[in-house]
Order: sequence, then C-alpha cells, then structure tokens
Amino acid sequence: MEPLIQLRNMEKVYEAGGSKFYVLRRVSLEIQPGEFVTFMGPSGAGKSTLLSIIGMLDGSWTGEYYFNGEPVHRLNVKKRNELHKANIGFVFQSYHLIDNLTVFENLEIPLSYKNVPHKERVSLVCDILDRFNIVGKKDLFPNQLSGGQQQLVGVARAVIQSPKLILADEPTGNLHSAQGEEIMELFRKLNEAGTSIIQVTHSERNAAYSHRVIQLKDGWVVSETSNAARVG
Amino acid sequence: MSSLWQDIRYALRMLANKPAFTLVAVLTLALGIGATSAVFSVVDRILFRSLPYSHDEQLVSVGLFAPIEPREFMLAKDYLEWRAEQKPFESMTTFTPGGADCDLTGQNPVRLNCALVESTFLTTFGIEPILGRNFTKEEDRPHAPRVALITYGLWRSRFAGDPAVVGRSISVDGQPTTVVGVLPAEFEMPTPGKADMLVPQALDEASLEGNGPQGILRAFARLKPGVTIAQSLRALEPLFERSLPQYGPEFRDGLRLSVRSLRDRQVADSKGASWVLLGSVMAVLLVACTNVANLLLARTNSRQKELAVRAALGASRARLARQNLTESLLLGIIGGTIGCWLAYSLLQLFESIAPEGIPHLQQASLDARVVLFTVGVSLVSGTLFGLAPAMRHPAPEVLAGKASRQTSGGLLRQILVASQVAISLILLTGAGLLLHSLWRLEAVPLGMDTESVMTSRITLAKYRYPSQQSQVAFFKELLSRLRQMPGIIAIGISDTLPPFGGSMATTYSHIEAPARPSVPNGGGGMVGWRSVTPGYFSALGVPIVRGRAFSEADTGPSENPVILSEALAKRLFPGEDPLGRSLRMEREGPWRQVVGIAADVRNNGLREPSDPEYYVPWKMDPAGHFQEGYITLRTAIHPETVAKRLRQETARLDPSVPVTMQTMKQRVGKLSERPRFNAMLLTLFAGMGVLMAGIGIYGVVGFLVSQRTREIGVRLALGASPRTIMKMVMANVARWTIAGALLGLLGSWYALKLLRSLLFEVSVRDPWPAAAALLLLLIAAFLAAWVPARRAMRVDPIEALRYE
Ligand SMILES: Nc1ncnc2c1ncn2[C@@H]1O[C@H](COP(=O)(O)OP(=O)(O)OP(=O)(O)O)[C@@H](O)[C@H]1O
Ligand SMILES: [Mg+2]
Repeated sequence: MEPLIQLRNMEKVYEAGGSKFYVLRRVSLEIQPGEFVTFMGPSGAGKSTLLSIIGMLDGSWTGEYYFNGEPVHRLNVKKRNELHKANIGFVFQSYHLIDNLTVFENLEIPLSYKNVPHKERVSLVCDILDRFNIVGKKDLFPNQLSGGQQQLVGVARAVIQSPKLILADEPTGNLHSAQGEEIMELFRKLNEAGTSIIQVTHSERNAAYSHRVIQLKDGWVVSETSNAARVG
Repeated sequence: MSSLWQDIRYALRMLANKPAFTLVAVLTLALGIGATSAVFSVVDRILFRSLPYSHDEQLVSVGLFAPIEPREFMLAKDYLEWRAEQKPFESMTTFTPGGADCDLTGQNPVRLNCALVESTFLTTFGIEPILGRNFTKEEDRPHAPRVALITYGLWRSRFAGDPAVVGRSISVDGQPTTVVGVLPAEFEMPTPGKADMLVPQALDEASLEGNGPQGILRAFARLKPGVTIAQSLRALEPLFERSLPQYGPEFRDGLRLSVRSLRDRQVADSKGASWVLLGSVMAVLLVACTNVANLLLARTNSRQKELAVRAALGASRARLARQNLTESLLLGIIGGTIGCWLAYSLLQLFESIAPEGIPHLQQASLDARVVLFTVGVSLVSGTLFGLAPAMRHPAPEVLAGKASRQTSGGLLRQILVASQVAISLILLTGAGLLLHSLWRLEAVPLGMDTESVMTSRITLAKYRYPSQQSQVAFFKELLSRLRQMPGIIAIGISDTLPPFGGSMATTYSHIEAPARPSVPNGGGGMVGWRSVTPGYFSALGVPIVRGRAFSEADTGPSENPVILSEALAKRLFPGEDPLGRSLRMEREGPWRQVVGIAADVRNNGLREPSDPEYYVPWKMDPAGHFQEGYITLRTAIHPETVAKRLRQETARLDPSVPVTMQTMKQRVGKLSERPRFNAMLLTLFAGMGVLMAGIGIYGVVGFLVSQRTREIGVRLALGASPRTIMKMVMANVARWTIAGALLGLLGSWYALKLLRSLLFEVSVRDPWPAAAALLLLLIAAFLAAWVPARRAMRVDPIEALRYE
C-alpha cells in the first residue's frame, strides 16, 4: 500500500542575521494510512515545525514530501492549500476556538471553507455534536466552557470534515490528566475508525496510545520505536 | 504631585513610542480645532456677536419693501410724515444710500467716501464722538454752513491724530468745511461700505411738503424699550396704508411694510452661507472628535492587559483613569497649539481670498473662547471614549488568559466609523451640489465675448466738471486719445456695463409702439436701457443680429435712432420686422427709429433672468448721465499693457481723476466669487471629513486585523484561503461603511435643505452629487481598508498560532 506521508531529506532553515540555523535536518520518514504516530523530543527540537510542514501550513523547506502519492514539493500554493483543506484537520494545544462564535458556529467554519451547502452543514454539525456529546453546549461561547470542553470542540472541529489525517500539537498540554485521558480516548476511537493521527506530546502516557514514537532532537530524527505496549 | 509628574513622563513616553498614533491624533485634533475656530471666528461676527452700537438689539431697519429692491427704502416725504407720527420708536433717522464721492482738496487731494446722514444719526445709533460734537439740526439744512464728522482712521492718517482738528476748516470738493467732531475707532456704518466722513444730508424738508422730486432714503430706528418688531409693524400699518396711493399701480402690488433687526438686514445674504459653513465645520469637528475617540479607544483596548496588571498590582481605578486623562490632555495641548496656529493661518487665508461683501470679515479675529471651546469638545469626547473601556472591563478575566469577547469595544468603534462616514457623505454631497451650482453659474452664456476686453470706470468729480458739457467733453477727448493707442481693436463708452443694467430702466407699458399688443398701465415688467458709443458693440463683442450698430452720424443732435435687444424686439413686434419702425421710449421723449437688433446680453447679474433692453447713442442729452462712464477696450495685445496706457492717458488729461480697471473676465468672475468661496470651503471641509473618515477606517481595520491575528491564523489552518480572509475583513468594513453611507444619505435629505438659497439652477435633490459623493467615499473607504486588510491576508498561520 502507498504510504500516506513520505518525507525525503526534508530540511528547514531559518536565517537570522546572516547565519543559517537548521531546525530540521535530513528528515526522512513514512507514515502509513491508519497509523497513529507520536513525535517526541526536548523543547526546541523542531516537532511543531515538522507538524506545520506536514500540515502544509509551511511551504518554505527543501526536500521531497509526498502526501498520498502527490508530490507536495512540486505543488503551488493554491494546490497545496486545496490538498490541506481536503485532507487535514488540526488540533491545537490552546484550542484556538474563535472567541465570538458559538460552539455551533465554530464547528461550521471548516465546512464553510469547503463550500459545503448550508443544509448539509447543519446536519454534519448536529451529527458531530451528538457524537461528541456536546449538543447542550452548542449555543455557548468558548469562554463559557471548561478547558476540556473547549478541546473537545477543538477535536470535533478537526474531524467534522472527515480528514484523512489529524495533526495535534500537544493537544492535552493545557488539560489536567482526567480531561487529557478523555481526549486521548477520543483519538484512539477516531484512529480505530480509520483516521491517521500525528500528535506531538511530552507525556509518555499519551505516547502510549500511538503505534509508533518518533524522537527528534536538534532537528534530527534520532529514533523510531514501534509501540508494543500500546494502550487498549 | 510627584505621581502626577510621573504620569506626565509616562504619557510623554507613550506618545513618543507610538509616533504614528500620536501624529494622527495630533493632526486630527489640530485640523478639527483649527478649521472650527477659524470659521467660527468669521461667522461669529455675522451671526452672534453684538454690533458696535449700544443696545444693538433695539435697532431696526424700517421702510417699504419692493420686489425689485432687496432692501427697505423710504421716500423722503413719507419719512417726514412717519417720523412725526410714529409711536413704537424712541427715534428714527435716515441716510442717503450710496453716500457721495467727495474729494479732500487742498494739498495732496484724495478721494473719500462721504456718508450723507441726518443729524439724528449718531444719537439713534447711540454713538458719541470721541472729540467735538454731533451735527446740530440747523447744520442739517440746505445751504447751511458745511460741517463734517471724520472717522478715527482719517483723523489718524490725515490729521496725525491732532485734537486741534476739531473746529478747523478743511477743503472738501473745493469748499470750506468745518470739522465738528471725530468718531470713535470702532465706528462703522450700519450698511456695508466704508465711510471716511459723515456730512449732513440736508434734506430740504420745506420743499418736500409740496410735490417736489422724491429722493430715496434708508431709514433706521431704535425701538422703545419693551416694544417688539411685530408690535412696531402693527403700529406702523396705518401710516403705510396712507402712503400707498402715491405709488403707481405698477409698483403698488408688490409693496409691503418691513421692519427688521439691523443684524438681519446686515447679514441678509451672508446668513444662509454662514449657517452652512458653521454647520459643516461643526460636522468636521464632530468627525475629528470621533477620530480621536476612536484612536484612544483602540489604544485603551490594546492596553487592557497592562491596565489589568496595574490594577492587580494595586492601582485604583481613579489612578488608572488619571493616567489616561494625562495622555489625552497632553494630546489636546499639542493638538490645540498647532490648531491655534492653523486657525490663525486659515483666518488670514480667508481674508485674502474672500470675496467682497462678507460683513465684518476684516474685524474677525481669533477668539480665545472659541479655541477653548473646540479644544474642550474634542478632548472631552476623546477622553470619555478613551476611559469607557478602561472603566468597564473587569480585570481578572484578561489576566486569566481567557480573552473576553472583543465585540463591545469593537462595536463602539465601528459605530463611530459609521457616523464618520455618514457625516462625510453629507459634507461631500453638499460640496458636490455647490460645485455643480458653481459650474452652472459659470457656464451661463453672457451674450458677449469677454476675451481680451479691458473695462474701466471713470467718475468725474462734480466740483471739477460741474456741467454736462464739460463731462462729455472730457470723455470725448479721452476717447480720441485712446484711439491713437496701438493694439486697440475697438473702443466704446457707455453709461453702464453688463452683466449689470444699472439704474436706468423704464416699464414695458411706457413704451409707445404702434404694433405692440396692449398692456395694462404699469405692466409688462422692466425694460433697461443704456447709452453707448458706436464702438460699444464691437468692443464688447455683442453681435448685431439685424440692421446695424450706431455710426458717427447717429451722434448728431437731431438723430434719434434706437437699437433693441432681441428679446425686446420680439415682444414689441411679434412676427414683424422691427427695422425702420418708430418707437417712443418714454412719455415726453422723442420718437426713435429702430436701426438694429442686438443679441441679448445678461444684465441682471448671473443669477437673475435678464430684462429686455434697448440702446440709444451716447451723446449730449439733458436727460443723460455723464458724470460716470465706462470705457470698454478690445485689444489685440495684453490687457494689462492697455490698462497701463489707459491710466497714463487719463492722468495726462486730468491727474485728479481716479480710474478703476478690470478685465471683463475679472468683472464677470466677481459674480461667482462668493459661490466659489462657499464651494471651496465646503469642499475643503468635505475633504477633511473624508480624510478623517479614511483614517478612522484604516485605524479600525488595522485594529481588527491585529486583534484577530490569532483567529485569522486558526482560520487559515482550518482551510481558509488568504482571499477568503481578505473577503471576511472587507465584508466587515463594507457592512459599517454601507450602514454609515445609508445614514448619510438619509441625513443629506434633511441637512442639504440648508443649501437651497445658495444653489443656482441645481436642485437640492439633484441625485448626481449624492451619487458622486457616495462613489468617492466608498472608494476612499475601500482604499483605507485595503492596506490593513492586505496585512490580514499575509498573516502567517504558524507565527500567529505559535504564541499563546
Ligand atoms: N520564526 C522563527 N525564526 C527563527 N527560529 C525559529 C522560528 N520559529 C521557530 N524557530 C526555532 O526553531 C526551533 C524549533 O521550534 P519548534 O517550535 O518546532 O520546537 P518544538 O519542538 O515544537 O518545541 P516545544 O516542545 O517547546 O514546543 C526552535 O529552536 C525555535 O527557536
Ligand atoms: Mg512545539
């Protein structure tokens, strides 16, 4: 089977005051469809950077990147944005819900960018509210929710358009452990249903939910370990 | 005290740290304060400030009001009767309109303006001479020894402020005249126009009792205490009824009695424009205030976190408010200082470009009250808006990192911007209307060719040219000398000059023409006439459409030709050939032969419809008027060169004759000077309004974008394309701009009625200026929003999302 993601010799450089600073060095890796992968590593290792590149938010790097066989490194910005829009959902550490939109409206955003017709949009949002057990919260604003609830909406927003891949940068970083566990369980269910997931985390417990852990350090991939003792 | 000093230092540092904010705030304040103060200083004199007469609210202008004359007048005979019998006034007085040219003769002769006033003039107006005394009743009679009161200015300039001038005899028009007093420095005539000297008008009261010729007078009165204008009108009604029968039926219908306050009379034609200017400059001030408020609001919003931290560290709300206030005040002081300077410069600019006839412009000065008021208004509003968010937002929420919903501050700002847009649209539409009207006014066909025409008005002093013969001889001699000048294509003399008619007119019904359809006596309207030399038509470029112009042969004493204007010919001889027909223009006048038809020429200014008119030859005639003449020169060379030669030739003939010269273009241009002035100012204000609205929009969008950077980043990560983001931002701007524009259109519907009296051949409801204004404003709004909106498009999602 064709890998979902294939990176070859990916490099990312920041130039500051004439000197070059490598954030990612010769990163090569493959991620299969349906895989649940964790990036770990010390602060500043380049995890978030790598995630943005995979998420196609960042286009300035060198090397090769195939997404589902498509050569991302050859696509122009517009094509890349389309690929991103169609296949990838994001979950952020600090949720990043939009303050002055209700839960319902927040969930609608990704759909509106895909030009999903209104009626279908409403039914999709209702669906997901139901699935995530947050129907009662649909008319509340983000600041009326707890952190855990906000992240729940954040995940719901990432899945609503049924992406092939979910990227989550420290999704439980701002949550206490019980809430964090709830989110991880959610990820596991989503993964079992077929969605590929890449998460960044500092927590061994969270890493235990994934199939594979990739360690980064100073921009290098230093190790890959399959997770034998996977939770569940 | 030290904490205040600390506040000031901190505020100064804040202002210095944000130069763009400070610059915009200070400039906005300066513009608003400057323009408002300058305009207010001008219209204050016209609309509000008391006139330089004691108890000026009691002073009224009294007389009859006829449709052909915009100001009250009285016939001398009526006046004597009214003065004797009236009840509502403490006193009544008159002067002779126009005054008289008078020459201070002796060494260094100069021409002055003498006002001919009644002996009660000063007492009625409540003016005391600073030296000497008023005229006595005896001096105000015909053939009394000649006396004069001189103005302060003349006293200082001509007599070096010498107190001994009182009682001295000076030579006026070659006759000894005794100076009886000096007027105070603040003296001014109640009517526009300047007087250097007051001399008794010396009404011949005895002869007026009979049926002698009737002079026209301007009458003024002082109301008795407690009597209103309406009461005085009622009280005078019987006297008015009694005077009516002596007027011909052609006048009687339009006549009415008029008593109005002196101020109303003085500012009659400036009033509308003054209110419009005041209104529009107030609107500019409002927009400026809104801008400052908007800036401070943004400022406070963006410092919420800082304020919250300070509050958490123990600062009281009052302390925080004071910090804000210090900043606002500093801004106000800087803006106000620049604003004062701007107001001062603007006022000088007004004085230099203002057309003649704006009352009191020369005396307008920057008023401290006005400046304080405008500075106050802009600051208070700014501070209120600046403080509001500081007082409202509960601190803990901000600190907890749960950013509260930002809509409230943002909403207020957007409402402010919408109102700026509304006000600017009204101003722009008004300016558009005035410009359109000006364009119409300047496009009025004059019926003559004004290119390369120099005109010159020459007035002969009566004491040097006492007889008609001597007057005619002077002009004839001058004409023959000017003919020798090189570069002259045509030259003419006339007693009056378009685009005005002058005072010579008769009623249509007086003209005796065999073929004319009958007209009731006194009916048919006015017909003007001029006496002109043969060269007049070609000098002015007035086409002779049939027949011929006058020739030298027509100036013979027994020749009586007449040239009709096309309009008159059409009315007198409908469907017939007027050439060769005979006419009598007035009852006792000679029969005249029609020799030509001239094209119609504007003769009532640009605004009023022209009257039909006719021309007779300029030549010696007891009924003619030769003390004043207009010389019209059409040249092939530069008109200024001709002007110089003309001056030289006149001086060679008689150096004491003053010459005033204007090109025909300047003469016509004078007529649209005031509309141009109004249009220019309103356009200036509208421009300022739009500029400030643009700044407002720029600020709000910039604020919106910077506040929502994170949100934009999220949206980009969720799949929005940069174009979608741009659209989102622009849609937000469009919503408020369009709301403001609709409000503005609605506002114009009401506000622009004020403009009605200033418009010429343009309706206040003319849709084009509104449409143009709308378009212009939307473009400006779009551009103002475009720059920060593009910044939104370029938000880097990684950057935006990286930091919490
Ligand atoms: N705009 C930038 N300019 C220069 N250097 C940058 C920029 N953005 C990120 N970096 C650097 O790139 C490196 C990797 O950053 P990245 O955010 O990917 O780390 P991370 O592994 O996610 O760390 P953390 O666990 O703390 O989130 C860091 O050393 C950071 O300083
Ligand atoms: Mg990171």
